[in-house]
Amino acid sequence: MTAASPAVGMDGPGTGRRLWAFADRWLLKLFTIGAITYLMVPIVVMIVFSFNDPVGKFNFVWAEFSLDAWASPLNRPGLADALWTSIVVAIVGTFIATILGTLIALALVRYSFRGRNATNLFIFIPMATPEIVLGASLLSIFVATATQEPFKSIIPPGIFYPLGLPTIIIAHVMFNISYVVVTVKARIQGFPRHLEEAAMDLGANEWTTFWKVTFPLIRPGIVAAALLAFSLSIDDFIVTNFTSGLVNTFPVWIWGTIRNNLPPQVHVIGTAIFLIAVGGVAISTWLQSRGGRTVAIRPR
Amino acid sequence: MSLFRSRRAIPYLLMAPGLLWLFLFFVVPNVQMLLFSLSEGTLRTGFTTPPEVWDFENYTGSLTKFSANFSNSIVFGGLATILTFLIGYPLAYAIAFKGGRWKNLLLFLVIAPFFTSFLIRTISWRIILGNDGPFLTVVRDVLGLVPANFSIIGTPLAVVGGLTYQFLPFMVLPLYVSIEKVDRRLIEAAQDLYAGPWRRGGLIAGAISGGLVAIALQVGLGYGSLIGEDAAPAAVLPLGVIGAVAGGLVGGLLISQAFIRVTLPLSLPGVFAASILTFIPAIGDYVNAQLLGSPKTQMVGNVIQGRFLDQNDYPIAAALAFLLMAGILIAIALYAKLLGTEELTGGRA
Amino acid sequence: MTDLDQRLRRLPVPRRTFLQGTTLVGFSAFLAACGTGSSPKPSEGAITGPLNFANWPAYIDLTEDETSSPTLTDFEAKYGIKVNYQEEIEANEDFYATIAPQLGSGLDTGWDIIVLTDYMAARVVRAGWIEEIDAANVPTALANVRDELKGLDWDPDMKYHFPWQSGATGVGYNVKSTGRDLTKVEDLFDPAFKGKVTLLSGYADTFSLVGLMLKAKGTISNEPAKMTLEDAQKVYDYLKPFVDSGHIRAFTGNEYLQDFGSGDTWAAMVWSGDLASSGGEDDRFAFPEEGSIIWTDNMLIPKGAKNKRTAEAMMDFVYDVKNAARLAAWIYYISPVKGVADEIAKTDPELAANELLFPSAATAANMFPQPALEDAEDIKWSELSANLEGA
Repeated sequence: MTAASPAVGMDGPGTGRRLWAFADRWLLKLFTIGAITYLMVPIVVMIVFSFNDPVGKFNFVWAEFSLDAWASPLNRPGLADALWTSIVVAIVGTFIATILGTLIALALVRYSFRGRNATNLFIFIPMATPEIVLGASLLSIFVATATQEPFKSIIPPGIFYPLGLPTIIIAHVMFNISYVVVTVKARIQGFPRHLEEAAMDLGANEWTTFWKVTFPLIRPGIVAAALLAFSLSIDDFIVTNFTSGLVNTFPVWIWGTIRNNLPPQVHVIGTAIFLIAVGGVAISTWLQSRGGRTVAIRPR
Repeated sequence: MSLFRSRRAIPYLLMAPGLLWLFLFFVVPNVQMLLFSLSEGTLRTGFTTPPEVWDFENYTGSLTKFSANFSNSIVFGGLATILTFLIGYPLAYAIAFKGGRWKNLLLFLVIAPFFTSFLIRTISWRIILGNDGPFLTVVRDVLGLVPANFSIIGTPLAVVGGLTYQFLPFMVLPLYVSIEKVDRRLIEAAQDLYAGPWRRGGLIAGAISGGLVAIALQVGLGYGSLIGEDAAPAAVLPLGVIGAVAGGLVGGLLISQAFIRVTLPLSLPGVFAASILTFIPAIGDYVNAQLLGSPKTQMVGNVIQGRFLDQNDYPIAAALAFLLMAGILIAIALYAKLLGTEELTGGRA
Repeated sequence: MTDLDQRLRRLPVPRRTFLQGTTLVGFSAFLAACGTGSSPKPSEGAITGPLNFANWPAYIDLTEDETSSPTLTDFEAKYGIKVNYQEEIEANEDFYATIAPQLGSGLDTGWDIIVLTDYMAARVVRAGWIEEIDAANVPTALANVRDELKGLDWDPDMKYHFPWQSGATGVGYNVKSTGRDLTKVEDLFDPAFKGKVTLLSGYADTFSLVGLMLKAKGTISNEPAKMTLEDAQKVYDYLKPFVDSGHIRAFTGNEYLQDFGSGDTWAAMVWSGDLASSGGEDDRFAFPEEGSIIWTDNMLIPKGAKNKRTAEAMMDFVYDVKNAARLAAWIYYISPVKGVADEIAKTDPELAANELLFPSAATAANMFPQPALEDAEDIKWSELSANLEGA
């Protein structure tokens, strides 16, 4: 376990010290560059192949450079709709799951109450459930709301059945809550309570204390959790396939399309989403650094 | 101490909406699945459910019949978790402490692969790792590091590699949030107190863990594999020695006492969360084994998938899913014990 | 088959006239069938929309700029309704799992037309989940469907289904990797290809094609659609050692296309349409000497569909030879409509000569359908193939 952290120390006598200086400056940096490169490898391949003009219907083998796919990125029936559905589902689903999950994480770490240990363990169960079980069981429940009493008379049609956007979002929130709870909890643990107490002592009420002190401190955890939830949501295929009814999402569309063709448009869309997102993050980083300091929220 | 402790209802109120959601859309549907797991029949023939039958044979029979798939899941999921940790911890550490203003961008790059759809990533990897692809061309044909008939696709190596890649973000994000909050004044103080690298301890701990990881990798990857026929078991020892030497070097020279005494302990909640977030989906995964593996590398997830979709045999599929869940929960409980505190599973800090 | 086409070939007529003609033929057939005194309207129910059509991806023609489908546009214009066409079906089993609970509970799935492969179509028809097609509404389709596609035991008289496209399962290989041409199923088991061979997942293709090989060897005596469980067991027994030794690397969907390019697969069991459109210059398809498998994806109307009459109109529409030719020229599988080869030959003789789209009479005579098993049998066969595939 310990074998993995070069350059963590800063000092050491004699030759050791020079090695330290070297390691500290370069080894970790090199490692980081290597790891990020590893993560980027398939993305680079994707970007390269978005400029391919494949022979035949499958964009697997490099043929020749072309801008055709970039000139008509959405020129596939159903692709634009599927993409739009995916984005809506991911944004709405992430938003709801992040709020619900963060509230649970706060309760679990900050309070002691009857049933806390059980809840802690319960949170892991949805994560431990194979996706296909989540999907198939949800589908049977959605169908039951339309066919079986007492659900049939209580629940108006159109919420759970017919299947569609609402049922996809319900499913995504469901499988994302646990991931949010676990990620946010890792942040709240070891949280410096005295800051909150100081704020209260200075006369802030609980609400103000939460927004001015607690929230900024746990925000990196919430952001990380939301990122995780968003990425799980936008890439989900199995659960979505069971709960989507007549609606298609981008992953479902791609999983289907591969049976008969793989147009370079798929690579173009992937590249575009990647570039827009990276561009957005890079610009906001740049703006923040120009505006003085980044929002550094580390207890110091 | 807590702000709101006097009001007992508050934690319940905070949890209510999320738990209600999970109750309605997770618990209720899965009660149905639990009944299925004790039933007989298929989706097509109709089910005979409890209380008419209580078919526990679904559980006992599956456990023996699919024992090979269970052990594949544990071995591949476990190895992938170790590998993601070895890559993920230094990466999270670097982003948290050395990321500076690039922190957000780097974090984003970690999850960026998800934006491209799993299928596109896998297709890309198959291009890179293919028999005639750039990786093997260099390693096998140019450098001659592996036998001439060596290939990657279809081996346990490919499955573990796929899992490692896919779940790296699950490892890095929780590690990042817990490393990032470590108070740097504590580290500075520790550096004053315990100057220098963690020589002897690091050497021993590094050598032992490096050796074990290398042996685990070799055994795990050779396990039931295609390459196993060609790679002699004797290779286990040299690889273990190499791992031990590498681990010892890193442990003895590069890891400071301050890190061992402050940063690592303080980031343990993150290590716990991250390894669980990685291990659980990795052990239940089926796509990597299906697209990158061979009939011998199929995992429990593949069996569940096949029983559900191809045979519509919901009872066996549900029983397997509950066995998997139970196994994972037991593993989490043991792991929490191993790492020491109930605090880790989410107790107060 | 080409001979048959020739004989049954109609004189080329403009599409509208042609349609009117066939409508009249169908109409009179309808009158004859119903005796006298029937309402002159072809059927109860008016054309309603939008038509919810679930199909497999890349299974429809596209305009030059690939933004819309001429077939769908023409249909919309002709009937004045919208078509909600979704490429939603990526595997029979997956799609089945998403509609079975609804159909089993008597709920409408929302779809008006779905497209399923023979064995799965047989399953849903036997379950009573499919609307009966009103013959009076599909005169063109009844007249134009190729004869060898009729008479299937699960729906001999086209009461529940019309084929959308057919394809063949045969032997595919990368000639650069294998270094020779393959002509037989048995070539897949050449020891020289160890670890570089893939078969198709599920029993429908793999057990049928290997069954044909064992039939040629005399080990079993039935053609695929008539194979018994004992025959399936013999296929299993033959394949098992090849799986254990690693000779067969994987059971796949159509990943072989990529693997041919990367050198990971040299020879595989493949679908004809993939190879027809793969573009890999060394990729070859062979109709094996032992015989090949023909399978069909079929249009079906799920029980309770809201726009049944419109669905029937769509089925009839795509059996118009011109429309069918337009579809076939884009999809690259085998069209179920008589006369399509001749229609295509007028504009693209090279395509019409492509044996993957238009197999010769000799090849067609050596093609066999997959088994369409009853549930109890299906479960036993699935168990065998699951054991083979390690899951």
